[in-house]
Amino acid sequence: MKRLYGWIFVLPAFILLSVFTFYPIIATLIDSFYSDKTIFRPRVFLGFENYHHLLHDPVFITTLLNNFLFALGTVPASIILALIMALLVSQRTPAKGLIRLTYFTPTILPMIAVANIWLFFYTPQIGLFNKIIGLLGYTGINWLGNPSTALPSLMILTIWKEAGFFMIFYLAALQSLPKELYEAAGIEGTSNWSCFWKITFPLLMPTTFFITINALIEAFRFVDPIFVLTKGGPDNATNLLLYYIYETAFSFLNHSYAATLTVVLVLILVVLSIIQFGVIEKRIHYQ
Amino acid sequence: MGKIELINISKSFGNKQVISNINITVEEGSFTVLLGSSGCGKTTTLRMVSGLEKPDSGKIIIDGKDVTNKDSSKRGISMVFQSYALFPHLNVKDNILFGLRVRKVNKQEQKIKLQRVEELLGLDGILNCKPSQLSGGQKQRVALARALVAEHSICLMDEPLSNLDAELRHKMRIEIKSIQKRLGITVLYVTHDQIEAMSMADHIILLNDGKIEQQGTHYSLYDRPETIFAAKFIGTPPMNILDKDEMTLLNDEIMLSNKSNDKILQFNFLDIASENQWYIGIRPEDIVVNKSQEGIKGKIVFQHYLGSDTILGIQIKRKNELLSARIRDKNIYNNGDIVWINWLEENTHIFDSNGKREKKYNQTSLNKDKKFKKAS
Repeated sequence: MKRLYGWIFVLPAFILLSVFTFYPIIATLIDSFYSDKTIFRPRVFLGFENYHHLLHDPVFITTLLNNFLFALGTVPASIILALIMALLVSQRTPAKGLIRLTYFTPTILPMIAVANIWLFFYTPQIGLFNKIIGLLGYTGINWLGNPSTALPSLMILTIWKEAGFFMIFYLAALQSLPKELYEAAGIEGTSNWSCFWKITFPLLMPTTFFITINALIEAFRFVDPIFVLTKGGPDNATNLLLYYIYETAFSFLNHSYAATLTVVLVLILVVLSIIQFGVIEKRIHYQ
Repeated sequence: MGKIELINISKSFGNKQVISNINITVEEGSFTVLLGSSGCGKTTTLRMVSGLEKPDSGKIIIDGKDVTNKDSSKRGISMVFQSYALFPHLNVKDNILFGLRVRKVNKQEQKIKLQRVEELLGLDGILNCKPSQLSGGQKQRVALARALVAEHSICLMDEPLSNLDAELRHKMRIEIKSIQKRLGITVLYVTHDQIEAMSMADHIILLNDGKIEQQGTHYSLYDRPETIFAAKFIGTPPMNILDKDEMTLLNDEIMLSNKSNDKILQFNFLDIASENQWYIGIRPEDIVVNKSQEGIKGKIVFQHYLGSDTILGIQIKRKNELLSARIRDKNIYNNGDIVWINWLEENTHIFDSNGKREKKYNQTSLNKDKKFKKAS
């Protein structure tokens, strides 16, 4: 009887997870080994053929490369910015609350709204950036239309959006640092600069690590603004993995190949999660 | 080296006056304790000496130099914090050397100084441990080592033993005191624990509500409390205080009214008697409990057996507080027993209406007759 109760209590969660998480993962994995069923051809087992194709797919290689570039461009920058903002607003600055709110606002906006706002910044003729550049007497750039500036433009938008969110983590961590440590250091005549590098920065390491992993995961899950701003173009310059999966599945209707791409993305995310849980849990626990 | 003077220091936080115009001199090489209950301003005073707080007015002078507006690091002091304030990410060695490294002391000297404190505090074997791996006592030693390694002539300690258990606290009290003697440094020590103050201090400064209540040696604070506050603060259990309402005057005699059995105190002159309110105080160990009907009649309400002695709680009047008496005998009374209490007149402390010690009485006119007065 007791066992039965146990199962009954677990059942709702079990059903939800099975239907919406476990089944899709397994189905995706299986699909990636088959071809799609069409009117002309039945579903055929392909083995690793889809994966083989993956390695020779220039668009996949480009999106993967773009994704790594995107992560490299956004993660460190947004973390450094977040830390600087957190340090600024954790001190006794006038209008502290207002500044905090300003920094945090991008975080509470939906991604699509953010993309729309930035669309107005980046638009070639009437956009904010080109207007400013025009006022200074230079010719504007087609930010999103140029392959060399399109991806960096998306990165800037992401940094703007994420930094405020990460700042909150740093702010919480900064507030939990004992004041006496700084007093003890102050009595020895430690400058603010060395206080930061010798005390604050090392004690923030667990937070930094946590944020880094989360930022990496977010970088690989980045997709929404692409729909609004670039649709992956020009010439796949802003085509990232998740967007490519979407296109493959719903524009090109190649479901089995989309499943294969999804497996790759999930693998990347799983590796990051393992690092997060495995390493963070074990390392850098001070007290 | 190591003399600290605080001149007319005041400090308030917001509207709350924490320190009101105090003057303190801490002698070179002394172990001075700032004693008081929480909120009395003792930690604030210490922090002003350290430079972590700035006084609103007044001067802080260390070794003849005005340091009121100088940074902590320029005052030649070190400090031990209540929470130890060890850097959790650094091992013991790096914690101890933190200050020397900030001051860019050369490597050779660092090594010598580290070795010195390592021996002084018995830190061998834990130099490579992180603070989280240490016991409370070890953390305390490391905190001390970090303060002493710079070899400043002044060490400030803010309730350093309050996080230790009773046994360890006892050991550390002895150790801190002996280190202070050996190094000849000036220690300014903050505590709310009167036992700590009594056992370690050369000089005790008792603070109450931002003012100095009394200062002096432990003997003078215990034997001649200047105020009722001091009398009650020092000593466990505190001094028994009886007020005028519990006594009656008869000619030149004071009687503790207790219907049939009265304790009589005789005064040669009675300036004090004319005042509206005054108090007498008796230390619990000065009270003699007897069953031979001498003194004031009372009932035993509780007995706390402490091993070496027993504390009796005795009710002498229905409404008032219990008197406590310390006796050496064990197990000779039952709760509810009727006993008589008495004391030598020379052990009577008299306080005036403001709670200040009545000097005239206590100095000149105390009846030195050591005989107990018979109940009338």
